[in-house]
Amino acid sequence: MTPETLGAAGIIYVAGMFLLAHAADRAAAAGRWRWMDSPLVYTLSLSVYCSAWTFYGAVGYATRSGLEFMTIYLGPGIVFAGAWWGLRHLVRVARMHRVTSIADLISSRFGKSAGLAALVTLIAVVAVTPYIALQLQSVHMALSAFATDGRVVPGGIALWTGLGLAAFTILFGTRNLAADERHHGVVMAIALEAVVKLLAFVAVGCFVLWGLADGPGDVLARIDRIAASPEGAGWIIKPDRWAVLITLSGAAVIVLPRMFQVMVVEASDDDRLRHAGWAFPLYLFVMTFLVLPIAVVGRDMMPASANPDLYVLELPLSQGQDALAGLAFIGGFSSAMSMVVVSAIAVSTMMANHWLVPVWLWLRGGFHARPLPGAGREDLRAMMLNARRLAILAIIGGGWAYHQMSGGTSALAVMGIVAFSGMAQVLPAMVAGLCWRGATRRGAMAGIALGAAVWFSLIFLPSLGLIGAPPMPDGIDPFAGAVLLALGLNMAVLTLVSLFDFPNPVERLQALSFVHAIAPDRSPRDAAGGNRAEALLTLGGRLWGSDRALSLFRAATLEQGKSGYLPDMTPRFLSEFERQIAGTVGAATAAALMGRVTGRGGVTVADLMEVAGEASQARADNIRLETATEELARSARKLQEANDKLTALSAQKDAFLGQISHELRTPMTSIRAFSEILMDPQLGRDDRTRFAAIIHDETRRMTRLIEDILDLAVLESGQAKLLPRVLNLHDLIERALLSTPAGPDGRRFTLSRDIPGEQLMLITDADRLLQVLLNVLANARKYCDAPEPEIRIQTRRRPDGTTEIDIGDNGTGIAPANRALIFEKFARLDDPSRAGGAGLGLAICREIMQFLGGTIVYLPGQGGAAFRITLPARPPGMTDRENAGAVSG
Amino acid sequence: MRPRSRRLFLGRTAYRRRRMIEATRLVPVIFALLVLLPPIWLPARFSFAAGTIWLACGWSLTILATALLHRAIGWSEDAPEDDDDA
Repeated sequence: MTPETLGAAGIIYVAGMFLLAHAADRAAAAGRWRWMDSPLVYTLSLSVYCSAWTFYGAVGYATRSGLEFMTIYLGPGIVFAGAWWGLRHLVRVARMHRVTSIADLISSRFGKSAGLAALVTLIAVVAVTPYIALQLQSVHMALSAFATDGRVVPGGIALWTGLGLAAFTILFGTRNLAADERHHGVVMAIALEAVVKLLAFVAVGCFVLWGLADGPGDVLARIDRIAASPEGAGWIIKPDRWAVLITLSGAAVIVLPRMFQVMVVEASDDDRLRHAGWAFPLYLFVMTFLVLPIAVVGRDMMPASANPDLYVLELPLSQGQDALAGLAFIGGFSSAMSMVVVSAIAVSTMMANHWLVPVWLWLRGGFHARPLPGAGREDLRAMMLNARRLAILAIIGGGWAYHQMSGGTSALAVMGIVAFSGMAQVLPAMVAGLCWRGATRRGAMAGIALGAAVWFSLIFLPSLGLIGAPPMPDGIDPFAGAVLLALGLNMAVLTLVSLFDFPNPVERLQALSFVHAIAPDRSPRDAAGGNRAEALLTLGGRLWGSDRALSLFRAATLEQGKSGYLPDMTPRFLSEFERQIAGTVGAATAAALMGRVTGRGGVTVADLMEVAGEASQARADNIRLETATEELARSARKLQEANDKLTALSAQKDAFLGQISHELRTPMTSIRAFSEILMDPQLGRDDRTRFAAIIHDETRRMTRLIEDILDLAVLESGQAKLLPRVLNLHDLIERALLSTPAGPDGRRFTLSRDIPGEQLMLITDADRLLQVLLNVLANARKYCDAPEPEIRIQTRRRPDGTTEIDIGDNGTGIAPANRALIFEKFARLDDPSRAGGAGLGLAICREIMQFLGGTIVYLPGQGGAAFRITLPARPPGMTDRENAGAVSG
Repeated sequence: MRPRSRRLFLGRTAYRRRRMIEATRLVPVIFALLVLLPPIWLPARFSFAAGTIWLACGWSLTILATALLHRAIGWSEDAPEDDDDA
């Protein structure tokens, strides 16, 4: 089998994965994701832990160092044995906060700190780049194993592999921005790859175990023979390395970006850990115990010059089993591919969310600056996706560059362990964050930074061969010593700083939520103003597309019992919305974006005391209940009022019709009676004149009544036409006083006026206002029962431009019970004869004032009846240009 | 503070489930001790075939125990573990 055939097989394999991922994505989009969402697929996707390093490096490791290679799998075995205990809490909390990556988890827990997220991302990038280089190298190296008779595999293989994988990652990893960072197509492809690599490894293992050796017993015998040989010394377990490596691998299975991605981010709930808790260790168990026979038999059968890292391929090849070797190659390629793809997705999400977007926000004018570009039409969604694509290219390109620079010579095993120990620096902060409410942001920052610095100088740089191994006391392994030093300092600093620190309120809220797995619903923030809802909708639309955002807002609105698309900006809605955004861009960026859009300030300590204290929960619930009850009572009262009003209106309408008929019938009756008398030819001339006069008076009364009714109807229906002009209030009052008829008894009224104060220029409909003044003055003359009647007129202009005209008398006024009635139609408080009108006057006044944009109200406590007429600065519906026209006209 | 009052005694099923949950917490600790202590204590003896058998037996038993315990805990995981006594 030539490298070309294998290359072609690899390309076909990748194409198959493209198709599978595409089909899975389509199925998920169509809602047929259920069967793919099973615990089995989840467990298989976890096997991304077994990278190409397991395939090749582990065998080499076992050949060189014996059982020590097992530490890499024993650590995860221990961690997953406790899956239902510890990991479940992690997955549950992370799902609750819609965590997008390990960096996001740490940042979210420690007060949504952008700096912490950037730091963790930095460690991940530094640790993962050589690891990706390793995967690319493994493909190149594996192909070389097939190159017979000294042919050289072209160096471009690593580049093309990298490009292919980058294309796959970009296609299926950055297809969409969702509120939960799940990639169904990728997960499905990884699950299938897990099966492929398991089958390939089992096939090679069984071939070696029973084909080349005589079963497990023979392999154990061979192992004991090694003990007697000189190389046996290398197999002796070194206790310090043994313990440190088990700890590191246990940490790695949680904090490696790719593991965190499949285990936490892609998990739909935490129940699947119940199955993964035993199934994933079983997968590792099978892989682990197949490594040993391949290593032992390979060591016995292969020439000393052979590379132990390639025993998986070379053992079958040496026996002429080309097909088996080809299968093993595909298995190894498969594990390299899944590792690179998932790592690239995980790390690119971190880079985009914690590096690129914050920088973009900062470039747009300060990270905490207020206005988000609402008008600017940048598409956040495209920006986010492009940032991720760029990051994927950068990561895989970085891996390739690293591979080129290192020359592909370093032993495979080393790079994996180096990456593990780097990411393990995040573990203390994560564990402390999940178990200890007292762990603070500064503590985590200091711990991680110090641990990472020690790791970088004592482990990472030496692994590149840039500096020598750190000097350690005799008998202590340099690597184990350095890891212990880094982790020890990390934990010590984390604890010490946290103990003496005082965290800020957001941090304390998050700590409560993370440690006790309480949904962070009661975030104590002021409800923002109404137009914020629209800004948030715009933000959501630009992240997820407007359909998705609209449906989210619609659901929230419906949940609040409202209609439309804009929910109330309740703290609950805001915090839920922020978490939805955090599911896309990470907690720190989400908090910053929300801060910009809603313009909210941070949480204060007082808010925190109010809400986050455990004891106050019941009280908060109580208050919420009370508020809801009050709200309910208020609505009920409003409904009751509306109902009363409607009933009253209906009764009023009936009364109005009755009264109108009555008012019209009375003059009609007298007109008919007197006209009948007039028909009598023997009637005297004087009587005839008298009766004709009565008929005339009655028709006038009727006409007036009908005019009033028509007037009222026009005003009420809004058909009246406003004819505003500029006028002097004093002139108008003069005209009104002149044309007001004197009282029935011709009494003289004392007028109390403020003539200079009346010199106010008004813009309003003069005739209509005059009508009101006339009515009010006529009423005063009619009803004032004081022995020395007096009418007071006061006018003033308020600072807001409105004009008030108070007209009062010194009579007995109107009884409080009747004050609500006087503006109703046909409301005559005493005998009709005295009023001499139809009782429509004040009703018309009220309608006119409404029409003029003002009000007329009864003023109590003025020592008599008094009315206040209020006029706006300019009539309603009048623009500045009309205003100017009215003034000039 | 809690919405319902604490029950003093659980029913047989719930009691059994509570003990199973405690057992799942014990498993990783026992496995860790099993894996760490002997090789650290007697590295020379546990570095070859004997160590291989020891680890294979210990791990497979752990996987079996985890599988059985997780099965026993069952689907109905709703009540927080520390909600009640006993």
